[in-house]
Amino acid sequence: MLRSKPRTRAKAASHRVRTRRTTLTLPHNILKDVEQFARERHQTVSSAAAYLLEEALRVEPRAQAGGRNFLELLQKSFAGLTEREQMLVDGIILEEPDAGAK
Amino acid sequence: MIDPASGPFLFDTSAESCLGHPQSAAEAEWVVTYSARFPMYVAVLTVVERARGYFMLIESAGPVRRVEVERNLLEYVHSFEIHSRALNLTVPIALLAAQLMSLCPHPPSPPRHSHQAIESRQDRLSRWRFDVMIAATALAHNLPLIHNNPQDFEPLRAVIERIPERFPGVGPLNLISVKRLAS
Repeated sequence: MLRSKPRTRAKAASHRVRTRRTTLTLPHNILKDVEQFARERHQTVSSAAAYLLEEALRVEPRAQAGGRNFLELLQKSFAGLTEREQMLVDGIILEEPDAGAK
Repeated sequence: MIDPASGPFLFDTSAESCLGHPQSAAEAEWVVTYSARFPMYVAVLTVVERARGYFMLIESAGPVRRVEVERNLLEYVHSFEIHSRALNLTVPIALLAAQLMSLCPHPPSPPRHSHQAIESRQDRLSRWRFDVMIAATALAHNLPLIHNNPQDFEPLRAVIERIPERFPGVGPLNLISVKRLAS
């Protein structure tokens, strides 16, 4: 005869975050790293992966904003340069043919 | 297309310029995605090469233009506080560069020119030596080198492949054209 689970466990489960079972295909080395991470923290691989994904999702928008700031800075550092001036800041020094003779 | 997450990479001077002038939304997005994950590594020689250009412009500019170029230079310097990292010239890098210079003493491509002006042989040689030191930096740090001048870097890659015993513990030199990054 099947017995229902103790009430306390059912109650505890109701406070947990809802989960969904899924299948992921991950690079072998990443999965190994996640397993190692989980072992060190005495966690299941699922909860370690959930933690790492949550952390990445939190950090990612800031990182993307940092990337946009960087691109903006790089563009500003070359803004308004003529083709020849750009060559100069690329290390290419062009001279008029008679400049050396002067 | 090169996955930005497969970095980090070392950027040659002209490759860095290309990324500062993205030709498409995909190229701009590549820079954003890459720099969200990794620092923009350049050799310290790139900083010398570029800063020399800014200072030469400042020196020859009138008062208004001078202020504008000084602002360009400040933005460039500021990028190192935010995200760029300059890799120093160390003794192992100097030795690698010296070995490469002895094997490839002459610039493999001719001096650059425009319709009115030309690069002197002396400046061409100096630029070649900068490129060799940049390649040696990539080699020593085992970083793929993103470049925009295959005619200069390919001979270096080839010589390392041909005589690997002259480069113990390093190599091969992994080259990636900046044009391949987002296409």
